[in-house]
Amino acid sequence: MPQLIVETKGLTRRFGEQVPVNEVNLEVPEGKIYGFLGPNGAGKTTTIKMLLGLLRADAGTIRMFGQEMPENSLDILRKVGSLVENPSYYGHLTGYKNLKILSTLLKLPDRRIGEVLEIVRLTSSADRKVSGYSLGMKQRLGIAAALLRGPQLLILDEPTNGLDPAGIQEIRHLMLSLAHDQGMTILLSSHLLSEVDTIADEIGIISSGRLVYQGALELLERRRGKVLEFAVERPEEALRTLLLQGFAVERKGNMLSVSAEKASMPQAELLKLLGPYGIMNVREISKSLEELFMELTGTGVSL
Amino acid sequence: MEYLMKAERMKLQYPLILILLLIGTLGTVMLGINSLNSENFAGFYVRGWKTFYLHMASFHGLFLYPLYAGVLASFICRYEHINGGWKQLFCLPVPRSRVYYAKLGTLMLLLGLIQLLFAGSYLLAGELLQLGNDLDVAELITGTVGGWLAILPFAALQLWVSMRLKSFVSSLILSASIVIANIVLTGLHASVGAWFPSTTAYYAMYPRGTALSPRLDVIPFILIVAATSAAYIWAGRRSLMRGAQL
Ligand SMILES: Nc1ncnc2c1ncn2[C@@H]1O[C@H](COP(=O)(O)OP(=O)(O)OP(=O)(O)O)[C@@H](O)[C@H]1O
Ligand SMILES: [Mg+2]
Repeated sequence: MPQLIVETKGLTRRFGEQVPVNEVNLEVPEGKIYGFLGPNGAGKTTTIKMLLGLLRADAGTIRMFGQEMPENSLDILRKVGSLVENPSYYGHLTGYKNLKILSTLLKLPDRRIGEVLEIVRLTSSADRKVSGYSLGMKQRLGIAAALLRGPQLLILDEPTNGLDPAGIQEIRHLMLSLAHDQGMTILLSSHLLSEVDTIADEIGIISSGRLVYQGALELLERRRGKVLEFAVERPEEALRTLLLQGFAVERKGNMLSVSAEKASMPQAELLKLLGPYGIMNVREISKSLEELFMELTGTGVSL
Repeated sequence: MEYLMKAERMKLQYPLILILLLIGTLGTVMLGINSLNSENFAGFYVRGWKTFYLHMASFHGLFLYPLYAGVLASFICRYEHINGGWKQLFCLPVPRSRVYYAKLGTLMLLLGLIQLLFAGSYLLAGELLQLGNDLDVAELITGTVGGWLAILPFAALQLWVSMRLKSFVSSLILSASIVIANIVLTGLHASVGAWFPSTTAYYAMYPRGTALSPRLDVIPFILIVAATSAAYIWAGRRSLMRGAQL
């Protein structure tokens, strides 16, 4: 059982009547990439802001590196690099100067600035004013700023915002190497499962302020259901039989789709039941992770 | 603390601030010379160093200096407001109270620079005008240093306001209107007027014992400046500790 770097218990935040974060128990293990997922307005940013001490929690506790937050915020923040919502920057200064201000505040050597600029590939634009940067370049600068102090925990709120596909790919590789080669723990939020499922070890899904799933990505994969589709000659009677047996069935023309929550499906039994109605074709369809995500977050299937 | 102040200085928009300071200094000198030669005053005052100081100090203390305090306070908060600077500062392992003192310290440093420019331009212009030999160096030093110390409550008040108001323009309009009220407020006895922090630089800089000197008792005045400074520093620091900027 690896140590938990971030652990919240009953974390709650209200804005008037609204409860954007409701009794959330987050558990981010050391050295893992934790994908914090949820649709727009689910409460991801609000949760992250509380972790960083930018917002006060109304109830619940936060422990990071085994210490209480915000009571030990200086000790904790020393080990945390973060990028929340939009990157922060001073537009009238160059990219280099922006990082220089941070490194002065963190008492770091200038050498570090060159290193992080190299990592996010901004070296050639370092001497330009940030107000002239593109959205993706500002995002890279924000990531560079988060990496500057060589954090043990990296908290990135929608880090691929505004990046082109090549940029997204680069950031993914960067995170994999930070976590796997340097042992950094990374908490990263996104509203797209597909954006994190290739790199995340752990997944937390938040919906309307509640954490509806938390655990390893494989466990989530195992939870996704399957659908068996049968084309039969006499669908009316077949449908009646299956419903009587307690299966979840939908009918479209002479197609019957039988879905099961669990991956194990009594296929043999189905074939035996449907045999008398003239099976013409059988097909097995897996639900996509994206569909599962939508089920969990109740965002429907509209695209 | 020094590294925080250093970081603050790196953020300043020097060209803009330099132009502002030069225009202001030039304006004060021109107005001083104008009053020196004006018919209205010529009857009361003899042309000389003392009279020149009186004219320059009254304009500077009454309008320009408090206005600078407001404008510069807005400047050093503006670049934090526009692109999430506060958020980044608050995520650093730096106590927020120190962030506040670094801002206030930077503001007072700039206001100190302005007093040096004031004294320097006074001496330079007076020399060029050949004002004679009644230069009172002690009065000049008391006036500039006293004015600098006395601007503290107003600087703290303006910093508090600028940290709260995201809009640059509204904080400028606010400081301008407060400064205009100075015409009336400085007519009051200092023990009343000094409670309004925009007036204190004028009270401190205007020479004592002339016909137009403000009525002022030194000890109560110092106590009022100290009390109002403490109050506005407390309020500004608290606002930052609570993260009202986010
Ligand atoms: N300062 C605030 N005052 C009032 N309501 C707020 C405030 N900040 C957030 N909310 C509300 O809290 C809810 C959660 O917002 P949050 O920003 O945490 O969502 P999110 O998961 O980050 O969404 P997104 O994917 O759009 O970034 C939203 O309904 C939002 O309207
Ligand atoms: Mg968000």
